[in-house]
Amino acid sequence: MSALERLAKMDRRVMYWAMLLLIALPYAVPLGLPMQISTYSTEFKTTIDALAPGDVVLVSMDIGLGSVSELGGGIIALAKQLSAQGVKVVAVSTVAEGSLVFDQYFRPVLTSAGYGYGVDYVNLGYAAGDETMIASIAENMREVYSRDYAGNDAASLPLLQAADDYSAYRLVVTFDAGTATGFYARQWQAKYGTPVLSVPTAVNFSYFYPLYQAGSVEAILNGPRGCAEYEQLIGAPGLANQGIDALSMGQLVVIAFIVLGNVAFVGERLRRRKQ
Amino acid sequence: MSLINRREIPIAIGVAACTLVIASYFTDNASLASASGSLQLWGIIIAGFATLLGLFSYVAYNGRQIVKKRSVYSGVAVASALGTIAIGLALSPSSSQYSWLTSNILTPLSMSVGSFIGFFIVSAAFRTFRARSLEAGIVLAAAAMIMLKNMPVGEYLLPGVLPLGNWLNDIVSLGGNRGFTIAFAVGAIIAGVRQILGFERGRVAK
Repeated sequence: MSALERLAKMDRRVMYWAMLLLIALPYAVPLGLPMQISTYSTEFKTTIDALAPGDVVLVSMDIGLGSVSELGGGIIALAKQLSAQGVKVVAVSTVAEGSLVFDQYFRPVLTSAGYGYGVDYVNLGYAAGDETMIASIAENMREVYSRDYAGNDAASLPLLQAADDYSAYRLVVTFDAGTATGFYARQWQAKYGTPVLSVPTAVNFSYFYPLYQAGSVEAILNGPRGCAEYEQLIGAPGLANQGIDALSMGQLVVIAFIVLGNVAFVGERLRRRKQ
Repeated sequence: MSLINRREIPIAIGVAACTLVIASYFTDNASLASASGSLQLWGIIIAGFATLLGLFSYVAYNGRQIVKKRSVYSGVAVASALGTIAIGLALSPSSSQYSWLTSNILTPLSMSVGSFIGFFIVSAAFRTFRARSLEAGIVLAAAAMIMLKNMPVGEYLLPGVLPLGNWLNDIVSLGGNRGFTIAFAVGAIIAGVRQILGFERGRVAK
């Protein structure tokens, strides 16, 4: 068997080990690569900067726990910026695990900043219905959510009494591993003019980019890299910055093996032609 | 049941519901908005029942696997689902016990499964991303540029990758995605018009 044939039939365990070791390397030896901040992230931060204390923001956790490794840093960073500015938060979710994500990553930042439940923030939890649900909460939130995630009567929560429909919300932020950005762009931005900010997973960034270009989405973060940039912009490097070097190494491994695969493929084709 | 009862009434209900919701979206009429809001709430309730139906289907399928094949995996799947529901119903999803369950079992498992994708991608990319034609080569090069653009180290490995990647994103990809978005919107409008005119009959009996 020639070297090219051996390369083409490489055992997948070699790739797995290469991936594992190179992803682990930045955690053992932090590389701390400088990063250029994109205009997307700057716009995102500037939009949040414009909020005043007491403003209410709808945070939609449209991701499961599996996507937290991508967007977890952005969730914590947003909670830090909103709490530093005294902005009130109402959380909903179109994904069953979204309310758990809020409780595990967003809520601890708010409570450590002295936020009171029901007055400064509320976690309403998951409701079925996707776009229909998002259209309905814009018109009457307490009709959809008669109780919050903890089982409290929604009508008894002071924040929800004051923020029962779209008119009370300054903007919407969606952490999105699916299609919720489009739902909010159609049902909140197009219909009522409420600005929508999106934090999609990297693979969805291109999908939502036309909405951002058209102005239906006010600002957008580009997946984990956008989250890392946003952390740096608010001066609180955390989860996303820890992971960004590992992500770089992982993507390098993928590119390296694509190149190797093509070297083997082209080499083998040339050899057959000669024969 | 007569043909009118089986076909025409469901079609009429569909036409009325669709017309009402669309009219409400484009007007400021309070009565229309109220009626549309009620219809949307019904939709949310029906979607909630669909989730419940999914649970029944899941338990029924795995139950059959347990009985027929003595499948341990199906046993674990059913026990996990019912156990989680029981704890959530008995103690509330915001209780410390439920939080412990999600923090220590569900979160690590979800993240691990998500992380596995990286390993499968490297193996799949090695075996399938081959420049078999000019078009495939262009797609490969564009994908590599976007990957390099998205990682901080890319700017050092290949200077100029950032503007090139942005050009691919802002011009090439945006053009294609706008085409998809417009096609999707036109398709949705056609589906809506067909529904209003009563041509959508897939859901009614023949």
